Amino acid sequence: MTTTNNDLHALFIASCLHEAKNNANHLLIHIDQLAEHFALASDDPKLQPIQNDCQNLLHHLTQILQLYKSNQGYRLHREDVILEDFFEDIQLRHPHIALHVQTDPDLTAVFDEQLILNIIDTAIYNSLQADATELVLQASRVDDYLQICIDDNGPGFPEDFLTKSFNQLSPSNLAEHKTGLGLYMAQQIMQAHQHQDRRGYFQLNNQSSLGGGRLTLFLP
Amino acid sequence: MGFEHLRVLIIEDHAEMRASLRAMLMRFGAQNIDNVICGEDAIEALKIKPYDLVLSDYELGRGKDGQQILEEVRYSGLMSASATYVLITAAQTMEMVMGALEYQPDGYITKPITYDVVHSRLIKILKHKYHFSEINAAIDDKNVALALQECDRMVMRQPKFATQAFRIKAKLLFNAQQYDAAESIYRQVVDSHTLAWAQLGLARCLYVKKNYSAAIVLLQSLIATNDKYVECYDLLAQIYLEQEQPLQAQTILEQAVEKSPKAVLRQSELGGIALLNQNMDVAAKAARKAITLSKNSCHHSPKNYLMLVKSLQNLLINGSQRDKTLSATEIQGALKEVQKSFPQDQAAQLQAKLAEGLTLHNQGKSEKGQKIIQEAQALYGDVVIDADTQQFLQETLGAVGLANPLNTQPKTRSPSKSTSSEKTVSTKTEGPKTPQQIEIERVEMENINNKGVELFQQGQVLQALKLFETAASNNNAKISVILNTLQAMLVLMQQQTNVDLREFENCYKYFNRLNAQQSDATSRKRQEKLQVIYSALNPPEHLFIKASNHHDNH
Repeated sequence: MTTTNNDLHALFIASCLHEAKNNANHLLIHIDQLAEHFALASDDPKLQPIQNDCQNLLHHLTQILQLYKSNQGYRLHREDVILEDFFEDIQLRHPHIALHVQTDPDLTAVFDEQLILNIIDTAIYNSLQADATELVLQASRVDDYLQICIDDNGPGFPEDFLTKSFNQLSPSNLAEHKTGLGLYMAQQIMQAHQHQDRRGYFQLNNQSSLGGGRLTLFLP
Repeated sequence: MGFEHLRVLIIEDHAEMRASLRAMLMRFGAQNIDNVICGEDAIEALKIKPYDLVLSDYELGRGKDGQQILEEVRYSGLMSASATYVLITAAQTMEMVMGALEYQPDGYITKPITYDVVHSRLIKILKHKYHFSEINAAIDDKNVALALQECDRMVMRQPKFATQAFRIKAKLLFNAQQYDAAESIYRQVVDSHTLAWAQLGLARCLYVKKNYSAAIVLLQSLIATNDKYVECYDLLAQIYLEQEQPLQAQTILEQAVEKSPKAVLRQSELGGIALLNQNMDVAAKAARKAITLSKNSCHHSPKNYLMLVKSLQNLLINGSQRDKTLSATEIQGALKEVQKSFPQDQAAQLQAKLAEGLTLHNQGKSEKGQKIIQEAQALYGDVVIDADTQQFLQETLGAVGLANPLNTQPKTRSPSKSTSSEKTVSTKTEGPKTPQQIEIERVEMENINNKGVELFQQGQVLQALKLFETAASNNNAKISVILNTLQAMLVLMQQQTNVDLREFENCYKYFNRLNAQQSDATSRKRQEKLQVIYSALNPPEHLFIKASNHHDNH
């Protein structure tokens, strides 16, 4: 195997991103420790913007890394996942958000935990950006698909999003500072989840149980 | 869930991380915590103390990584099925770790580690392990029947663990050579989910049932979805070897070691195949890697040193002056290591002596070389312990002009090491035999066997084994002959510090022959005793012998 200069550049960029992501991660921990040290409440008005910005930074870096990886093709590592545990992990990742979960304790499904987690994290991030304050994660099996709904109490998706295809990144989005990157990658990840002749997909609508937007993932 | 009574081992090279993990575990209530800083120390610690929980960082500097430690301790039985192994990884190495299908840890914790994360993850992992405690206890007791029952119970009672119970059950069945039963479970799982371990398991079943084309298709599609599943490459290489395509096997393994360069057994396998293909550069490189990686591990074996010595011979003849000097030094070092580290392994000692002679010969010191080879023959008799040694003996004798007139029949190169012994045991098919011929053969065999018993009783086990093997090569050999062969083999294997895989394979075949025959109570008892000795030698999992055939089937 030969490595071209371009490959090397890409590798260097990726490893710098990894480093930056680690830094952001550590920063979050340090902020937590600092808050503990000064006995600040988790909703302290001085603390929250720092935490939010740090979360956002982390989120963006994760996204770029995902994009880099998707360029190499997704290597799925599918495992048997117990949904109750999976949701609990997500709650743990977002301790400051009102995040409710609903699932049958016996429900299991096979998917790449890391990648689906990524989609859900992105969805949560986008909801918070749109000023949602409450979210519900809900999983159930309908026919041959596992459905995961992410509901929020925000303003819902803009009308054009509901009909749009996310199969391609479009330059017009970039101008509006709405990259659509998250949904584009969600689309890629969902499609990579294939079992026999069925592929995963997602749907957007504004029929959230909390009055906001709803993202539903369908996994075969 | 209490940590109070857990014996905990932390494997972490980073002092700060080590201290912080230790502090966390103490806060959880753990009282019995040891730490080590590398894989070698971890293995030593695990030999002494049965830990309940091992927490290992994946990245451990220059030595073994956490995944390799896991593979080694599970492979060599240093950790029971009931004990919990947790890997700590940075998120970006997660993908790397995820490739392994066979030896997976009980759980992962991703960095950065905080008190809350570690606590909740550990509780979850231990809880999960707790659900499987009946199954694991049965496995640790080597009670396969009970373990299978417990798996069935799990499927009924805890549907959310059903898939994992199926996974354990299929593996147990496979190891017990109940391939049809294992295959049907794997198929059932594969039909409802795309799960790599089930696909690989199915491919393994297809492989042992010699359905090679179906196995290849399955493995290739698995690799296409995730090129990190190096275990698929291993199995593919095996299949190519069985199909007498050693070049393909080599290509596949070269890809595998490029993706996962730290696995000793794979490097060793690659070296062997490259040697077979006369691809000396690849063989030498793989042998060197295997030697470095296996130092201080359970995989430390004379095989890799001898492989290196063999692969360097070509340079002694055709290399530049510099090559010649360097190779000579390297060969000398390798041979010394075999003599020093494996004095009990007679086959290895014989091979080392032969290689020493061959080396001298190839350096133009033919007379000296011949002398050493003759000495070696005198010292070890012409007792040939395994097919590999036998072949090397013939090759060496031929190369230095000492070809043994008794063995004029040139031995064909066997394409695969694993089948070579099969070939020596197989029947000669030169037309049907008359009853008289069969009777003459039977008497002959009886005599040979009796002679073997005599030698065995005099303590000349090697010579005895040779006679037993000759007698057992007859397909109509009596059960007692096969039992004698096994007994002699096992006695020799017990004397070795490192038992070669082929010796296990040989025993395994003889046990299978026994299982295929009707035997009386006395023979059965003897067989059971031999099986106990065999199991105590720690055969690799795919060569496990079923406990016994009469109280296992219900």
